[in-house]
Amino acid sequence: MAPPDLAPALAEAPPSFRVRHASTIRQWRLYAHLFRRSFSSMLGLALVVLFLVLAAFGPWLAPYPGDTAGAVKLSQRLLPPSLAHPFGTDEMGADLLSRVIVGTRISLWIGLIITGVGAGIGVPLGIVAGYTRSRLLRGAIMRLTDLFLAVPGLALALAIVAALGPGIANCIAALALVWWPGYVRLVAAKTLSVKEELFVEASRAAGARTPWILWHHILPNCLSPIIVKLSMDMGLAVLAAASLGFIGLGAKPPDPEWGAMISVARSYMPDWWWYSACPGLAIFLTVLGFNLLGDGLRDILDPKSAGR
Amino acid sequence: MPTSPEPIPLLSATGLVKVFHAGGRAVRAVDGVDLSLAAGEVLGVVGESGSGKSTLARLVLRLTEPSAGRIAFDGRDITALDGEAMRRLRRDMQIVFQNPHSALNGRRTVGEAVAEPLRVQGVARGAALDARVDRLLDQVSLPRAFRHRYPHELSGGQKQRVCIARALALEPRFLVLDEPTSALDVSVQAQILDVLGELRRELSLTYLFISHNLAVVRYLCDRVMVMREGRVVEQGPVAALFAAPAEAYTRTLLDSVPRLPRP
Repeated sequence: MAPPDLAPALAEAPPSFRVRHASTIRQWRLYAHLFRRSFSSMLGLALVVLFLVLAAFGPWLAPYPGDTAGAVKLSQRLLPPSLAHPFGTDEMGADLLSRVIVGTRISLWIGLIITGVGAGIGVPLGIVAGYTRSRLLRGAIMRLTDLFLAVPGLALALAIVAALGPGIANCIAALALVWWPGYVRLVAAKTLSVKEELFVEASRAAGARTPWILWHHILPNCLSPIIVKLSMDMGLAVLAAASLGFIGLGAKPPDPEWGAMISVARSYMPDWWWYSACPGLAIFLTVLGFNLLGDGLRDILDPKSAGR
Repeated sequence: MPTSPEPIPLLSATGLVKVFHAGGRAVRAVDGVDLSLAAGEVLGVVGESGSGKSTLARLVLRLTEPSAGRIAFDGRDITALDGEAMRRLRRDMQIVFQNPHSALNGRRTVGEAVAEPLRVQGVARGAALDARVDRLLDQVSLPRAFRHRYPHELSGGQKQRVCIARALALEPRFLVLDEPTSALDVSVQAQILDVLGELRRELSLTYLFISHNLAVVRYLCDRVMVMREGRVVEQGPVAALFAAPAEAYTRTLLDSVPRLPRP
């Protein structure tokens, strides 16, 4: 029998992590189950994970790390794909596989910063526009958003880069500046519907201030579409950055950036096809991966719009 | 009851009007309502749908701003109170909504929902907050383990108990119950009414009880007010009004209660 003074201590012991978060764990297991049933979602996830691993460990995984910094090995220029060089080599004799792998990190950073800054500007503006009772403020934010949406993002980014001067930093800044309007639209629409929910009124009846309501009630209920859009946009942002690199306004050729690589490889088409095909394939698979992942996430987080 | 001349009512409203503008038409949802509630009293408000009951409930808490009229709580005019003062006053007056399914945020656990009033009002935090939440769940007879559950895992009656616990968290003196049982199964309705009756005795609460269910009003209320198209048709003590309704509309309302035919 346990000593008597131990019993209350046992009764007061806080429940374990598994007990406290049993509901959350169940929810996540349901998500995982739904996600696993879809082949395309899993394919997207696999591609994104592959991309992330390459970005994190690229310099250690690349077979010829030295080739990414602009090594010149004229004896092995433009070799076709072989066992030694699975993707072939470029006009400087550098191993293309190594360059594509190391370029992953640049592309990931570009995508993360562009979507991160875009969401960072767009989500707060959208929540304010959706929640405010001032027609003037909402009107101002939404009209500014319309203005940006009316001009194609890439064209506007081109103009900004042209004004700032070419370069990878300016390319990222320009794309980030044109990326936010989509988030404003999405979040403002969602906020407009969530703010009419009874639990928001209940919170107000309890005496909650507006920032509390926005943070604890509005934002969490807007999160699903934001996550889905973030995933979709990662692919598009990588593509947009590669486009700017391709026309020479983004990363500059010695940098192993995919768009810049294709830009140089263009002049070696079609005889040395593998030169442009390899970075092109990398862009294609990245965009595909993030889009499939986004689709899969939408199916589980936002089931109402599934199957479209 | 002490023999003081006319005690100050806990809540009183005079000439309350709320006009909604919809499609270029002005709708007078509440049209010149006076009411007065003594401390510890339960006032029932009955009427058909669209009679302005729920708008009245939101008006007295200033969740909806009145178009005209005055509201006084505990002898103090609160009609023009600014945001911060009103926020502090909300400790004393709380509401339980009709639909517990939408009154709880699906992304927050039961514990977070019950703790919310205490946190936003800065009443308790840390271990003291946990203890308060446990006690509140005890008060509405929910297992303490429910604090880690999400609303979608609970039944309608359990959700409404969570809403009641949340409304009680700040130890209010006055509670508005906006049809708290009409979204629930009949078997669960009785349980919720029992909880409300018990709490009223234990905590000497004052209720404004909105309902279209006359049997429920009869069970819980001291006085009853009949509303139609935003106006008060008739009011009086429950027993008297149910026994001898003066107005034709009240009689219609009483007669419209479905009864089983006698064999």
